[in-house]
Amino acid sequence: MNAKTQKIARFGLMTALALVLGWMDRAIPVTWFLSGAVPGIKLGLANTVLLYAVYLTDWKTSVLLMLTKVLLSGFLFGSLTAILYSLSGGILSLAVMLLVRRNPRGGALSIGVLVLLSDAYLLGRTPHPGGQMLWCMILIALAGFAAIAVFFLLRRHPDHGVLGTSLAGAVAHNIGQILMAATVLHTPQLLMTYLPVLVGIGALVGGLTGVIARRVFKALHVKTDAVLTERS
Amino acid sequence: MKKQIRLFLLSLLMLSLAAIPATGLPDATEVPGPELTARGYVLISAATVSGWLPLPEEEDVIYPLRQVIPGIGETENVIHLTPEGVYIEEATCENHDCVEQGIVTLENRSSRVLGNMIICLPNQVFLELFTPEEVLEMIQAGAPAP
Repeated sequence: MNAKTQKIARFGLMTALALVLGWMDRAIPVTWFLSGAVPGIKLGLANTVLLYAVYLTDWKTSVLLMLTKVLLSGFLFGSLTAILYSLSGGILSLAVMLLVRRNPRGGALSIGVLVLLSDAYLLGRTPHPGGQMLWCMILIALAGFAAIAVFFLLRRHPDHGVLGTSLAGAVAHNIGQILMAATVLHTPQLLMTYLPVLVGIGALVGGLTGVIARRVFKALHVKTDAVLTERS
Repeated sequence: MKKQIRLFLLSLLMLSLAAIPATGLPDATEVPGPELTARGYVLISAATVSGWLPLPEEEDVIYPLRQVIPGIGETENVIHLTPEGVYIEEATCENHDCVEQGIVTLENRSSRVLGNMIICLPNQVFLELFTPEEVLEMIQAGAPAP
């Protein structure tokens, strides 16, 4: 099989996988613990495929994969607005992942600090949180500390770099989506109230998908540390 | 290793700096303005309409918000106002996130993740519940009066 055929076949496979995982995302209620209080949150399993593309192909293929996935799943399952939201999230997330993949430690540390800052900001806004908000803030704090733990972990185990990339990608995705929502709805106050929550939840699900991606990469013998990925 | 500890300490410092504004006390100056008699006011910001709805005194009020949005089509969100608060009873959107966000009251605003807001992204509907005092402040800042 020549290289071009292999490339096309792999792209088709990745697209199909991303679509199926994107569909599965809709079936997994990530926010059951917040009983529907946080709208528009999903696990982002499809992002594991994009992580795979980011590490194993060039940036052009990754961009094409992201666009194909967003447009196809938008037309298949969503609407025009859904496409807008996932496109803004997808572009920002991919840009950040491509930037961070060579320095996932920096990514993990920045995300950790950003998430803890968001949590402190939320605490400032609602000094006496109760119920779902309290639960949410505890989760966000845990996610922040977990991201900082990833930063320390990556020093000893640079081959776990995908964890940092996944964290940064997921948070960037949520930031992109909320920026689009604030623009479409003409409601900048969304950024003040909902953005900190989404940053935290992004780190939470980004960590989860990062762990999944790490397992998959390990099974496929993909090396993800910066030194070994100098373009295959 | 030393570099990382420094980085970690730096992030802790940033975190504590960010917490400082949280401890500041709000100033309690009286705000003059028009008479606002309802317990609370709901600000609707939707794709095609925007405005205020006061919470009713006694009986519930149902406000069906119908919109024709370019590129999306005809949508409806049934807004239900009670003397305590507001919720979306029914909606034509695909995910019904707005219905699941439940009721916002003046009491539960600090325990909801979305605070005083109810959001329907697909139908581009955004509701916020305010106390009369907050409405007065917003009017002073240039918002249109209810």
